[in-house]
Amino acid sequence: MTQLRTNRERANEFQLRRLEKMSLRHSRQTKQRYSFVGVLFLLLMGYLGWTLFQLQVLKAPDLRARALQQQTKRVRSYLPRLPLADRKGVALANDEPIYALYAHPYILQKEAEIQFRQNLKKKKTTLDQQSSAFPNYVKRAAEELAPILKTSQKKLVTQLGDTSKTTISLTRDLGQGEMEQVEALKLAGLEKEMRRRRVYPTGEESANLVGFIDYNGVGQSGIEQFYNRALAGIDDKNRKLYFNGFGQILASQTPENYFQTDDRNMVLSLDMRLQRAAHLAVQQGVQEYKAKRGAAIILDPRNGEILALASSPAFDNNALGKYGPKVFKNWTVTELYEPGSTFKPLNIAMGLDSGRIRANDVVYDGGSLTLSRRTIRNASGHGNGAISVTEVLKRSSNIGMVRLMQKLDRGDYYDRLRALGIGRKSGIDLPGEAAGIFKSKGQFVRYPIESATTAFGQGVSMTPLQLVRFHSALANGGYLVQPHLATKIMNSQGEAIWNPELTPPKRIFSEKSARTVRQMMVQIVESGTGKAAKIPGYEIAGKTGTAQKVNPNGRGYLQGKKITSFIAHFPADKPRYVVLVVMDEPGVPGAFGSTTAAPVVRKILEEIISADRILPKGPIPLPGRLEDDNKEAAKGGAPRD
Amino acid sequence: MVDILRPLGFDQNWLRNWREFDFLVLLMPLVLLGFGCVAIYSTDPGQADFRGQLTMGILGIGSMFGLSRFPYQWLQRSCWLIYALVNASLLAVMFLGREALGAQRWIEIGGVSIQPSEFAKLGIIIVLAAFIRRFPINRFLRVWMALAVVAVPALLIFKQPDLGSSLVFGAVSLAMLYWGGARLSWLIILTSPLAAAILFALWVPAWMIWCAGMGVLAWWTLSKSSIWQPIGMLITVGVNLISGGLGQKLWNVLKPYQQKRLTIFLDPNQDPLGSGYHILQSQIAVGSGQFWGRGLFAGTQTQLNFIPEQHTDFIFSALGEETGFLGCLILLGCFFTLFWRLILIANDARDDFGSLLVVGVFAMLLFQTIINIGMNIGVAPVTGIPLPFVSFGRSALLTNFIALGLVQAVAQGSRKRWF
Repeated sequence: MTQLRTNRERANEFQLRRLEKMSLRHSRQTKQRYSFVGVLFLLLMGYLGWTLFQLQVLKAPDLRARALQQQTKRVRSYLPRLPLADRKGVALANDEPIYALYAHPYILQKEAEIQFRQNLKKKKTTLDQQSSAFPNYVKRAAEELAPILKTSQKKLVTQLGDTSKTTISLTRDLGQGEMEQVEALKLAGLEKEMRRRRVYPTGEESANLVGFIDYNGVGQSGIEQFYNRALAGIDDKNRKLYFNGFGQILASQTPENYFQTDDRNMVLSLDMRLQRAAHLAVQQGVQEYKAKRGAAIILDPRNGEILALASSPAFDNNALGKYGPKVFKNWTVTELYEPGSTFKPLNIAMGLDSGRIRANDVVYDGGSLTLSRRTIRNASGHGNGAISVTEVLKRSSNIGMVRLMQKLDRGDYYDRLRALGIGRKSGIDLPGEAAGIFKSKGQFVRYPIESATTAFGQGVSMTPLQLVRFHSALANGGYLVQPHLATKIMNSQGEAIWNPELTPPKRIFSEKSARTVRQMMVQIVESGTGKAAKIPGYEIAGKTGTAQKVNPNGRGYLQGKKITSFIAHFPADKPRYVVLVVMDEPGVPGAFGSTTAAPVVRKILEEIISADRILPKGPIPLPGRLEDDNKEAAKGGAPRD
Repeated sequence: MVDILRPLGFDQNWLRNWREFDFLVLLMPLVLLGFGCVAIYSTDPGQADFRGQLTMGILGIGSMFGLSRFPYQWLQRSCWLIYALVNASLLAVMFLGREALGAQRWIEIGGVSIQPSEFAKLGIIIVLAAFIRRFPINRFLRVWMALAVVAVPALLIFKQPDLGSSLVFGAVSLAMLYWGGARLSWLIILTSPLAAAILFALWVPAWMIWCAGMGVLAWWTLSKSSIWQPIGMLITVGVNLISGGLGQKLWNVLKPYQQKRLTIFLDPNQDPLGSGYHILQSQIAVGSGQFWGRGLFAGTQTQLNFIPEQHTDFIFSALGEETGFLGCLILLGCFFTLFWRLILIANDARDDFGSLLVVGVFAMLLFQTIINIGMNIGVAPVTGIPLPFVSFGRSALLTNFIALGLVQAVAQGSRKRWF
């Protein structure tokens, strides 16, 4: 212990001696330095504390808001419009990205300078070439870009070299593939801007059904208009998403299913093969018979699905600029007409159902009849004498029809017409459907002329599509179905996530009456006015129609203007197709349903047969006979309806 | 056993001697280390850095205890050896170093990467303390002699490049010069060319007044000899005049992005996505911590990676966001207490060498703390300077603990003083 203490004392002594020698630590100066350092230190720490107070207390709410602001964005999720496909998956409408390409000459110039300096370092160039660095760069860029943008190299050189402009627009519509080519060039100073473009691969062939969208992406016609909301995507409101510092979306904070909305598509009942055939047949028919316009509708009577609906004049929904607005309306849905004789089978079915008409009834057709001071005539102008119901239809006798329908109580007849759905919309999923026009019950019952004209399909109006719907009830054994195009919206797994709400089929004819009328209609094609639609080996039920055209600006009918039509049920014993062809104001002389519409129907039926591989019912007669038949039909003063 | 340890100050009486151990200088770094480890854990989900920091922290505390009984006066004798080691290790970095983030700062020894510039800071404090004790700064010429000693390692570090560490060297030198006897006016004259260059760029008349002022200052304070008085004044005015134009030239040598990095802190909103990004994001983080903080591991700016390299130089922003103004005040309080103890120890040290040593450590830690927190809250330019005891960085952490070990050694020899 003692030794230790002395050690320590010795050390202290040593220190004390050193203290005396110290040069720094004796004076007033030391204290001054100590205070100065202390004050400086206090000031610095105080400043830090004050700044922290400012940040974390005074400015804190702003800064926290700013943090939240950069971590979240209100995003209006861009959902591509749903693609459309036909029943077999053929694409009808697709949403594809297109790009607008911009160039910034100033950045191009900077890049040229940077490259020049790099080359200078590598001794690949010399300083005196500095002035030509930018023009050379522009020239090279133009050389590479010109073939992709399909513009002239010269024009590009002047555009890209114009450094007085900050931004120039090179092109507005560059496809995905071309854009990838441009990006592969790795040129500086280019900027792309993506838009979406609706592309319709089938164009004109389906435009009247598919429709189109306007510049803002809003459907303006057809399915695009009718289902605009569904096609534009369910998720059209903007949502709050959270982002991290790398600009990535935080998946855990993102609403469920947010990214799963873009792989759906809408399937239509359309069958593009039939639609194409119908389109072609109608276009040819309109041309051949010099009609103002024409249309063909194929409907599946079992469920109301529209397999084809072609109309002429058609338009191409990929290039709308060429057409006037009138073309865009689908007149088979939006316009009414008086169907004429094609309505007769429906009357017969109503008559049979009422029990007042029997299939083997015979009526006298004197050629003309005067009711309420108006004279009704057969189209052929002459009478047929005493004829059976089947003959009435086969010869399309107006007087025969009037006589038959006169057997019905007019009130009962009116109620049956109403039950059929005359004067109401069919429910088709196309925009602007017109409801048929039908007179009041009082008028119908009071004036016999009203029921008389209705008997042969005048004085009652409907759209062509509505007529097809009524005929479907004959074809499917008496049920009224709702015609429709959209069958479902599918997700990527092929599951239907939406189906249309259809009104359930309603019985309007008894099955027996429907079958009876169909059998009569087979006779029309076999040996009546519908011979032109006949296809050897197959049984087709059909009916021609040639109607007078209502004056849209007043009362009465337009002189000499006709609408000819032909409706067919096929195959006749168990129809899967109801086909209607309508020709509006055919310009050739002697135009009737039998001469202008029936041949078009036959063309379509032939395509149906080959497309769906429908086997003939019996042996097919030698081709020669058919030729004869047709010739006979053509020259033999045309069977009139 | 005891005999072997005796030269290191361990004698049988050592337990009693611990009474003189400065516990605040032990406690404050421990709290800071704790703050740092939690923050590193928060920014780094991988936890590798957290464990590394903690291990090195424990090692550092051990070396602090080990050194606290160390007869530090011995260092004076071997100061030139230390000087040679510092320069040799910096040269080794230059030739053998590993490059990362655009700078060559590390050498790998046995799979451990070491950053010699951190140890060099302490080394140069020891060398300078020894130098100034032997040649007290009682003449202006001595300033230049001391600066010449510092210049060699400082330039080696500047070459790496590591601007931040070179600035630490400058700050340490100024503080130790002042403590070692330099008059304040000398230091003002020493740094006046920098001010002249800045004033020239801002407003030429101010620059002219400044040059004249420096002339007057030089006349009164540099030397009283009839020859050196006018010469000193002329040189001072001349250098200030020249540096006005020369400063512009030197400034333009820097690339535009480098210039921008040095000035952007004045208004980071000029380039919020470029050079201002770091400062702005850090400010947002600190500010959105508000008073109570968002809670540990719950800071959105921190957890969502809005601040790059947050576990090193920007660790303060993580603390600011997650512990709020309260946490920051506690942190500042720890630093304040530590620094206050250091000044007191420096003032009470029994010898010049010890006193200068502690002032050097004080300057080193204070400068790094001020600049680091300053750049985190947007009042200082972004330079690579870590926050002592808090930022991730094993070499720096060990250096700082060793430095405090030496401070403890100095404190052992001095009277206790309460404040």
